[in-house]
Amino acid sequence: MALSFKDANPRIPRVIAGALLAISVVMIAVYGIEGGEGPLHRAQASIHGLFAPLESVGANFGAAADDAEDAVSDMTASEDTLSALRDRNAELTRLLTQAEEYRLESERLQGLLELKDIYKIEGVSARVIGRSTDGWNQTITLDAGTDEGVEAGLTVMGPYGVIGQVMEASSSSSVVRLLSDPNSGVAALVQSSRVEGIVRGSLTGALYLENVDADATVNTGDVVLTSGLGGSFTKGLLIGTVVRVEGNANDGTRRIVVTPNEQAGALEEVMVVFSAAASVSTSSSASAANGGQAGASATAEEGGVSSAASNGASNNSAASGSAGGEG
Amino acid sequence: MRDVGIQVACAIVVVLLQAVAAPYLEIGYAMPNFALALAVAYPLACRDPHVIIMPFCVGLIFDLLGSGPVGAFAFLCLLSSLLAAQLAERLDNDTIFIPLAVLCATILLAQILYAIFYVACGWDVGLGEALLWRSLPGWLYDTVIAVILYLILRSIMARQQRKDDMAAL
Repeated sequence: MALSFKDANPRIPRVIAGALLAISVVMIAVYGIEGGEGPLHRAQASIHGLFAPLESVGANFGAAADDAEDAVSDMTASEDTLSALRDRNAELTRLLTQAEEYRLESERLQGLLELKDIYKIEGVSARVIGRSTDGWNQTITLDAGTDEGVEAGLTVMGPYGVIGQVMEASSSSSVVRLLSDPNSGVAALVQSSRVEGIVRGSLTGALYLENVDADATVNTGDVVLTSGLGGSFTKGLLIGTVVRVEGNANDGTRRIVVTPNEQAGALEEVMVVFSAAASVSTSSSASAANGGQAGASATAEEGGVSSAASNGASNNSAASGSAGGEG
Repeated sequence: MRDVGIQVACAIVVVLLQAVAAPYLEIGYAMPNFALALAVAYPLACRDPHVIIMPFCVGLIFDLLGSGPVGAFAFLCLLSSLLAAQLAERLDNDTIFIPLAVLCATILLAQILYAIFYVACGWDVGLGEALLWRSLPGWLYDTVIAVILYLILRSIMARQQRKDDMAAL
């Protein structure tokens, strides 16, 4: 079919445009109605699988841009200035950069291994090879797929805790919807008080703990774990810590902000969880997994003092002051 | 035939840019939408109001690459392309201001409509939030990309036209 209708009967392009617009609307409706196994979802998953190798090329895009910049600056230097000492210096710099890269990777992998030990996780580690191609969704693409045992619905962890859930998997790659995506939600509980709620993402990338009882006390620094309710996420894994409690619980305006474990851009290696041992119920293990943040929360809980007080009395006074929490 | 070649080449470049480069060109909450930018810029640059298949195809591929509702951007790219071409044809006074204004307006409309689709498809966000955090930054970013694409395409078209004129002489 021709791509342009310059010389055609003027009615033809109108009819074709109308038909294509109608097809689009039908596709949107079908996509909304069909489940995850519907033909359009499957087509989307197939395209993701097809483009996964290309996306891994894109992962080096930033580094390539830097290299190109260096190359341009090298080319503009005169021959005389390129002494042996500079060559040597460049070589050493390259080696140092490479060594630093290995060290950072080793640290990240070490973090994942520690997390695996803490939670007695059975799973497969994977590299992040791509990110969402549109600004409306927060997803990442992994280099592990059904061949490695990855399937839709599995929990995915970063070096510090849960980061999302496998949305779709092809044979050699999978797409993970991050917790920070506005369309994701995970059943959660506050570790110290056992208060339950749902952690949801948002368009700003922040996580919110919602559906919490109005009389429940939640303080800044509280550790939030997956509750396992609904069965979509493995129970007892670290989601993050409460960083802010806004509004008032009594008038229904309370918003509990939870730190995400990772930003999408910072993720390089993750672990897809097949199963984990019984939930981690002590603050110390969560503290180990979450570094200093969870440790601080444990201190605040044990002392019985809300650290919200030090974080701005006005917006946290309700949360701190509300008595009779489940904890 | 040459127009078809240019459209196919543009579409391929745009799809590759969207898949490979766009995720790493995110600024704040905005990620470039090369498909929409091309769908709007092309009919303005080549002054062809009947570009239909290419905007639909790049929009559909954009939908399939992403995780949103399939068909939404196919619809919006085609609608924006037709609207931009019609507006430009009626308002054109041979200045650069009209095409740029049309680019701005049609991309803004597409972003607003996508936010409405997004919310209507059951995503758990408010329309105001979607407009503020995604449509507005996306509109600014896409307009810049579309203007650059428009200028590039216009210079290509002008060069081709000069060649054709020379050949005719």
